[in-house]
Amino acid sequence: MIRHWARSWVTARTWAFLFAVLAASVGGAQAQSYPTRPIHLIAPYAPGGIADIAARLVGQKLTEALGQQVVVENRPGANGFIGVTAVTRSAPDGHTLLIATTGDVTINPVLFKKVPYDVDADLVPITMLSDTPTVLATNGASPYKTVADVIKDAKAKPGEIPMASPGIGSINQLAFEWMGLGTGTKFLHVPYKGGAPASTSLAGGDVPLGVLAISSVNPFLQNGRIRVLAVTTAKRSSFNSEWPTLQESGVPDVDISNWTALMAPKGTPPEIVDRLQKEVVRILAMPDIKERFAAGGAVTVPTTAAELSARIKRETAAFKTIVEKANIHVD
Amino acid sequence: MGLEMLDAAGHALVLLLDPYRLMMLSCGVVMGLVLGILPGIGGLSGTALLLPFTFTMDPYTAFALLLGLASTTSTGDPIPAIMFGVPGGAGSAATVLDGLPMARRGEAGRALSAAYMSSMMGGVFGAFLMAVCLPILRPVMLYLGSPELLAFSALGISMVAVLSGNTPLRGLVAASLGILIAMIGTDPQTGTLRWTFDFLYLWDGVPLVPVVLGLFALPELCDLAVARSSIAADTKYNATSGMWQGAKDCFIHWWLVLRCSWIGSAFGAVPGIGGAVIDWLAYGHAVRTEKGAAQSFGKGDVRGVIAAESANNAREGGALVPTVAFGVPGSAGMAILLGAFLIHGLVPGPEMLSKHLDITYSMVWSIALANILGAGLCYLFSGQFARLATLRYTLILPCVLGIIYIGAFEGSRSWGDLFSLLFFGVLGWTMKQLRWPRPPLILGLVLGDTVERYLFISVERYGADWLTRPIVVGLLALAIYGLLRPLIQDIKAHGGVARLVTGFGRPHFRAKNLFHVFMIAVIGWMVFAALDWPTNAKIVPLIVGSLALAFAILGLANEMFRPPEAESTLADGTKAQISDTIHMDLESDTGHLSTGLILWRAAVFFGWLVGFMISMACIGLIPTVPIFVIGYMRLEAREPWKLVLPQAVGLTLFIYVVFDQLLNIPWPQTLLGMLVPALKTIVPSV
Repeated sequence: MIRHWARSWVTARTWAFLFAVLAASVGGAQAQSYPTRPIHLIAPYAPGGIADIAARLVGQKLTEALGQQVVVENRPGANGFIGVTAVTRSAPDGHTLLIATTGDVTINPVLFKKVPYDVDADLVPITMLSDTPTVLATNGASPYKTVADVIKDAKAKPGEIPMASPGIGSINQLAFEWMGLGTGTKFLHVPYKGGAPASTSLAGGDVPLGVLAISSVNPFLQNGRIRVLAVTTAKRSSFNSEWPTLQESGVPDVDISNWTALMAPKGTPPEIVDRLQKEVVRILAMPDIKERFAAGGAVTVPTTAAELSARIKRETAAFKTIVEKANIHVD
Repeated sequence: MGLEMLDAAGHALVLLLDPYRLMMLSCGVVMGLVLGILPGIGGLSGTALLLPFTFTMDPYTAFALLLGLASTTSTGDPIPAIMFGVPGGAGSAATVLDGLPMARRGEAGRALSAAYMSSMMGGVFGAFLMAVCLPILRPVMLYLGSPELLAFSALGISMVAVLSGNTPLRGLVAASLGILIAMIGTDPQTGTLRWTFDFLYLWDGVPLVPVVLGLFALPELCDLAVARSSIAADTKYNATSGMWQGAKDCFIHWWLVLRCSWIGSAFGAVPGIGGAVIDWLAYGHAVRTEKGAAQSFGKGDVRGVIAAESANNAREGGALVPTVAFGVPGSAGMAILLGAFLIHGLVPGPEMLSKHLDITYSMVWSIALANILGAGLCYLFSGQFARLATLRYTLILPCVLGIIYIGAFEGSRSWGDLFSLLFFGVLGWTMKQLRWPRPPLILGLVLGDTVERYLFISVERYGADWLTRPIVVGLLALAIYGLLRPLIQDIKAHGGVARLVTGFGRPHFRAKNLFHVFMIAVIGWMVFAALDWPTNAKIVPLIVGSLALAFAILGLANEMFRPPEAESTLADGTKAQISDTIHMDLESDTGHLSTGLILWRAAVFFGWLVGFMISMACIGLIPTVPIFVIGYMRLEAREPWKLVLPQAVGLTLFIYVVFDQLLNIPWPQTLLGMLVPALKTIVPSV
């Protein structure tokens, strides 16, 4: 009896699963106009990060909405250059889209001497997707209780206090350089390979300070291994509204976070951009999608194309000043 | 604590034994095995593919599916390694060393069986170790800072001494070259682009998969084409009895299995030390500790297979530790698993050991069950695999080569991967022919990057104080001992330092010394190019490069100026001892052919590869496959059409369904696709 029940249950689920795999691989063939074939959503980073998760969450819902399979393609490498270049070089017909991040479209162009793409000339904005605030955090046992403590100590020992980041040229590095410019301080940059190793080192006491994503420090917050001193955005984070912002703590101007956005190659027909923008904004409002982004420490940020474009321009200009003033060199 | 843990472990097992979850686990296992058997195609693309399907599952089921796949890819890996000498993944290159000679002797069944059994035992043991250690590991791992991780990597590199066999100088040159290659790309400290020649491809360094396939897979296939034979000439052995023997071997050498599993889990838990070196570390350990190993390893000793395979399956259990405890992925597959964590609202860290302990234990059980299931499935089909070794080379080569190309392309999905494959293929074949050990190169390549990164953080953060930390002192002492002991033994065997630096005769230059000259030129150029970089970017490359130059020049001088008969003055006992220690690599079985013929046939072989790439650039990979299969089989051996056509059609369909449709591999742009864009929608991969 039990066996029979188990078997029929298993068979039903098996068929459901196999069907899902099949449907996913072959894709619906019913659509007549756009999209006429599977859409490739290119994430310029390796699987597992926020760009990848954003792509997969939105991609799955887009598949349902457009009746065509949306395939996530990870094209990591060279600070996102490889993935972004792949998009700028593909046909502007709405079948290849980019999951852009802060780094790709606002930092790379001002940080690197040679950039193989021009954001303005090669890409069109569709909508923002998510925003992940970063935080200035300290080791649980360190004497720093407030941002003011950090600034005071950094002024006494300029360029000596180690500051962890997930890598050179990351938004995290720009955040503390920005902080340094506004307060007349300088830190010793210790770049790690990604946010998770940096957080572990911070928790273990390898470094006393770091600018890291909330999702990276989250595993260490409960037992007090890591304390958050401030968020790097202008507004407080919904993740924990008790954390002050850097601006509230006396650091002027700093407003920086890791966001993702949907973009397309220049020349993509406006009606396709429009349709995608409407669909994605609708998707970003879904409760289950909001919940999944929130689990990763991110909030969904549906915007118009114009709003995204304005934000890119504003941030690029701000980062240009920081890179020049703080004299950050990347070849 | 004990009871509570047992309770959670029991509860997790019951949860996992639910038929639907078992079903998903099996799905993962089957996919893992298939992806594992295909050379170069690892679990990474498979795991990424399955991730979206887990969004709607509960966490137990999701992790059963993902871990089922991740833990069995390394069970499938040894199959091509033993049958063709083509490692199925970066983690089973060491298996080739003893597995292939066994297959050549007609003991493929025994080797396969030993590989499955030790994989299973290693996998289960790794999971068990993780289950027991989890509660105490978090504080321990938090104590391990960058200096300790650096010392761990240094200990790994010290294994070069063992893995160089009887050619220590060449081993050191190969290892240093590996470290230098690891430093290609963006420097983590200053962002300087090192040796990238303006190629975006090289910014993140050379990906590992094409290098491993080039170094270990292509040379075996090339020699197969040169010898024009099958892998196992005689077929008189009995597959079933070999199977029994292989399983029995694992139980006889249970202590070796246990030790190597321990190595696999421990190094698997250190982020940055990937599967590509763990098998070599275990193999080196076995060479050093097993009785008589120095004489018989590399010639088809079943213990070599056991050591490598038990370690690389134990790795996944170890890699889970930092993933679950800190959210630091222990391997690339684990990074995707972290994505699944986020989706399910799980936070890696203390919660996984308290509130979500049952999920953690269900992961441990998933790994253990997947390993048992995977090995069982392999046993079921092994009779068929073992027969492959008796096939003619023209039947095997086209299929295997086609899949190797796609496997290499998976490295970073760029044309650069194919050039890397070809470059390291030629390098690997040359090294094999001239008896330069290849394992040290891989060791240097994987660990070099880690050493530099942790070294900078250690020095920047602690100055010289990091050298006094107790764990660092212990590990470094072990590393130095491991590095020096074989060298000292070697010097003693040669009659002391005095003998090494004397006894030089007239210079005599042979053609094979050209490779030394080539190495000196390449390394010399690399050092020269590094001189302009900022201090932090050039310091490690300069130190390693200078050492490498010194070793290479010493090696060349030694071979040029020392008359071959000098050794005859040594005592007979010493001579026997020297010739007894093994050459730590495979021997080519093409010795009966003339050098000219070998070179010609090798050139033809690599010519086919170049042709494949040209055709791929023009008309795309999928249309190239049938042309290549037909061309190779007809031109090389005039195989009958009734064999050629089914293979061409079968392989093309297989590649189309698996790689184009299922895994959605983004094919590179082609000439034809640019000229006639309309064809893109009709013919895949154009």
